[in-house]
Amino acid sequence: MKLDLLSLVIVFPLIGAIPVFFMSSKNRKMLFDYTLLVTLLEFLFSLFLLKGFKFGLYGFQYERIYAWIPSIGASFHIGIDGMSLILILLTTFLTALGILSSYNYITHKAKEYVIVMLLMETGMIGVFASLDLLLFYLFWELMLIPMYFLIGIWGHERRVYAAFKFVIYTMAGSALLITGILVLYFYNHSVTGTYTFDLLKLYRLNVPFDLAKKLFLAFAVAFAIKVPIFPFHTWLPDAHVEAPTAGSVLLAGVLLKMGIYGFLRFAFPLFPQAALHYSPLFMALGIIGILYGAFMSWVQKDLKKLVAYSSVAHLGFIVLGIFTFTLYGTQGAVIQMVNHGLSTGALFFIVGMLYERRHTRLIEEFGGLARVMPVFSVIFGIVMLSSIGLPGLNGFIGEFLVMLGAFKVSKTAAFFAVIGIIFAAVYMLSMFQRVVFLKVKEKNLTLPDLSLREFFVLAPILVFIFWIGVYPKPYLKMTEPSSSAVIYQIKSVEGAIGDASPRIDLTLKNSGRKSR
Amino acid sequence: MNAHILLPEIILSITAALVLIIEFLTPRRLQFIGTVTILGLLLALFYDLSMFRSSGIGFFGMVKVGPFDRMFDIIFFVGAILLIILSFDYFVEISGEFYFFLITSLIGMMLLAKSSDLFMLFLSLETLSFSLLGMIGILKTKEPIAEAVLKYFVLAAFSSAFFLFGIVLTYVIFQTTNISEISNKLFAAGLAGLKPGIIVTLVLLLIGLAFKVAAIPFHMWTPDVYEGAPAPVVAFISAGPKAAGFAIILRILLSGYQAHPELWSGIVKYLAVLTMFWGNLAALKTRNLKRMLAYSTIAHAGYVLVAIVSANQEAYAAIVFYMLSYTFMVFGAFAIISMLGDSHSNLDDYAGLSRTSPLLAFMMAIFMISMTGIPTTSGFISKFYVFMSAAKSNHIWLVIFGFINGAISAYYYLRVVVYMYMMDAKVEYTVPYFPFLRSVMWIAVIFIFYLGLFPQKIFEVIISTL
Repeated sequence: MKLDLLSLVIVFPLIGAIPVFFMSSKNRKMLFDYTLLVTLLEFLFSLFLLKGFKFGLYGFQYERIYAWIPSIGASFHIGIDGMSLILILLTTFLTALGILSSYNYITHKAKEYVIVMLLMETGMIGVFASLDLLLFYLFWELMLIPMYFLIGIWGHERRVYAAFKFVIYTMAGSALLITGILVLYFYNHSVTGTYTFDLLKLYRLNVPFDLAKKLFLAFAVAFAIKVPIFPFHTWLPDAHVEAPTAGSVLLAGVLLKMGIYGFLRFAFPLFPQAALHYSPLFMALGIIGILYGAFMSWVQKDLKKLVAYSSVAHLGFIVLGIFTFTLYGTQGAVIQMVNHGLSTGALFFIVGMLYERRHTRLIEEFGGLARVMPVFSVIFGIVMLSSIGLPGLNGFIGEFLVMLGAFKVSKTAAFFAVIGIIFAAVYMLSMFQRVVFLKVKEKNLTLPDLSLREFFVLAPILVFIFWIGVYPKPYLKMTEPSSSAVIYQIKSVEGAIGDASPRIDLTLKNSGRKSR
Repeated sequence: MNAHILLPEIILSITAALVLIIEFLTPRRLQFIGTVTILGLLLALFYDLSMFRSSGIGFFGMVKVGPFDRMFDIIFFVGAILLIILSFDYFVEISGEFYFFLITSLIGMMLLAKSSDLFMLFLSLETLSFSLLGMIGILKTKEPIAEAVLKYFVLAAFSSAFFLFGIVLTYVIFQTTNISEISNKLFAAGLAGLKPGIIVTLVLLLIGLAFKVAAIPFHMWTPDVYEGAPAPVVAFISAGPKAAGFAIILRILLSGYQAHPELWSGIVKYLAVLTMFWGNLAALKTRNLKRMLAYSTIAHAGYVLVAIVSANQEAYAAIVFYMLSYTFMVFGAFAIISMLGDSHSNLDDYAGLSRTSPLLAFMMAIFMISMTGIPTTSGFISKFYVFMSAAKSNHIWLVIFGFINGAISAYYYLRVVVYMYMMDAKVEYTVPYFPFLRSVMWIAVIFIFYLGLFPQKIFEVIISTL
């Protein structure tokens, strides 16, 4: 059995974690150097995935099926399309930066820390690459434990509480997800006579509307908790605030995307009619999320909490985008997932850097940083503007596309979304003003500017912030087929609710194609 | 008479006698007696496996053996062998009778899973109960043990009485105590007027069995016994005898009363839900690790009862797999508890363990994560299988309740991890090096990941026995 590239990308961090067990935890520098090397290699491998990826094709590439538990029809079935690829790239990118940012931040249990980070990377990539429902669930749940440790061991004051809340929320959601998976599995058996968890085979299934509604909700609740969609968001501020910097970055940058990805990859294509049926509800929840997140951010005194609530708002946009079922909206949402990972990730890095310097995250403790930390302030400004969605930076592209999509479907939705954007500018700018401008506080006079290492954490993100902002075409091209496939699957049943006619199967078109 | 089908049990009986004689001649040479016991066990296991595929009825219809029953034997043997290994490090000053009790309890369990007559069943149940009693009370010096022994004894006698009533009533209704004959009569004659009587009988029998598997409301003995009894014995009790209990519930309900599942499935369904929730909720407040695992064992019994309600082929496989995987988890956890000592089983004693003994903390974390049912561990696969069988029989609410219970249980299992990794030790305490306890820990971890990642092989074997 020759290891293929995608499997390698999935298991490499895990393999890389094994030598760590035999390394001394005393030598922190060596430990982090080694892990940085592993994560950079992993990023390189994911770039190889990109290199061999054929743009513009429908269906999945690098597809592989290995036997896992054949007696119940579960297999190690992996494959990626443009959407998974871009999220995998984001994952490997942010993990490497996360390790780079942790050199000084993590002072105790460094060995456990790097093991947890590597384990988490495998889990995250596995989620984005699985084409088997059981395998997907395995990675989905596997993610919990590293994140739990990350928050619980290296977090701040209320870390244990936040870690518990995170785990129990997610597991409660997973309870519905796995139940839904099982019901679908047995429904598939009752129709086709075969037992399988294979996603591509289950795509062909035409689930009756009544059952589909229930199953869609079961999937949707699990995903909504992860996203999180209002009113399931309450775990997020706690987890984000208490997690260590790299944990927050990965949480915001990647884990939240797993929920959206779940909608696009599983819930929509499996139950298109139900997705259409519930789209007004979820669009409304998305808009509530946008406004609620904005208002909550506005009143926060804690920098990290502010960024956390801004995540709720941004994810609201993404939810709105995917539930418009237009190509604009979906494409905007997918690109916005990447943007949010970059800009919010960067914001968490920035907050972490401030915390390392001052051991506080209260906005009122800062002020006038522009004078003492000029480089830092410039970068902070750019990231902040990208988060607001200033034209020319990445955030604009995503939000603009989502708006276009929303406008086509519902003018009211678009109207409220615009209000959300205005508020985003309000809370971000007022925060920025209070932190970076105004008078310099005495305590802040001696703060050092960015170190070289910190600069290298933020600079790569800046590159992409500008790149996507100015020339988004390659990114849009990469995800276009996956987005239009989702739209196509939804549209093909629109107006045919309750109709038992078989759907046209998009996945068949290229599923026979194997990558090199 | 077909005596050869019980050859493993006969070998074990001879070994038991031998152990007593050796103990009489050269008292208190534990390792020697233990080794003799292991050799006897391995010989019996060898014969058991060599007859694995054969099936038959023997002893005038009292026992019925098929490959599926021998699957349970394997679980019993695993538990017994792990217990012997644990005992080498754990017990210092006990008499060799411990191994005698161990073998007789093993015989009790094996006969229990094979008996096809209610009287035979009762006899094996009593053999098992009394042997366990001897094992729980083997350390005569300690205070809480007396309470544990007494509680177990009184409640065992109590449940036996119910079980006997059930047998008598069964005889009144069916004029036989043979399970296959009951099944035949039910198929042939139907219920006509017998329904109330049968339900009373079933309830009485279930009370007796619910005690064995620690299901609600006959679970009260577990926390006290778990807290008082020596840790290795507790691990043994929660693995083998429980599996035997489920084996016999399967035999009575699914073979005996298979013609009319509606008679019992309602009762068992509520029993399952209550047991899951009660066990998990009670564990939330417990701060003693042994007590906590007692409540958790109740919750696990609830999960397995879900499989019994589902009553399909997957359910049989799920139960065997579950008990096998649970055996490893529970022995792993109790091996570590034994290392720290029974008197150090409060959560506070585990604070900061990740600093003082990182390996032990890491292993304990794996056992706890597996019991929670997180993927890649056997705990996940076994739970998944149980609920898959429930989903197949359309018990969707049981599935949802089951997984929600998984979320609840995460709280108390992971709290152990919190103490080990996120709290600082109040008293620095170095754990001595115990080679035998450690080897059990390693065996458990290896099997947890093997069963969790590659369950296919084991499932093939189990399914082939159905």
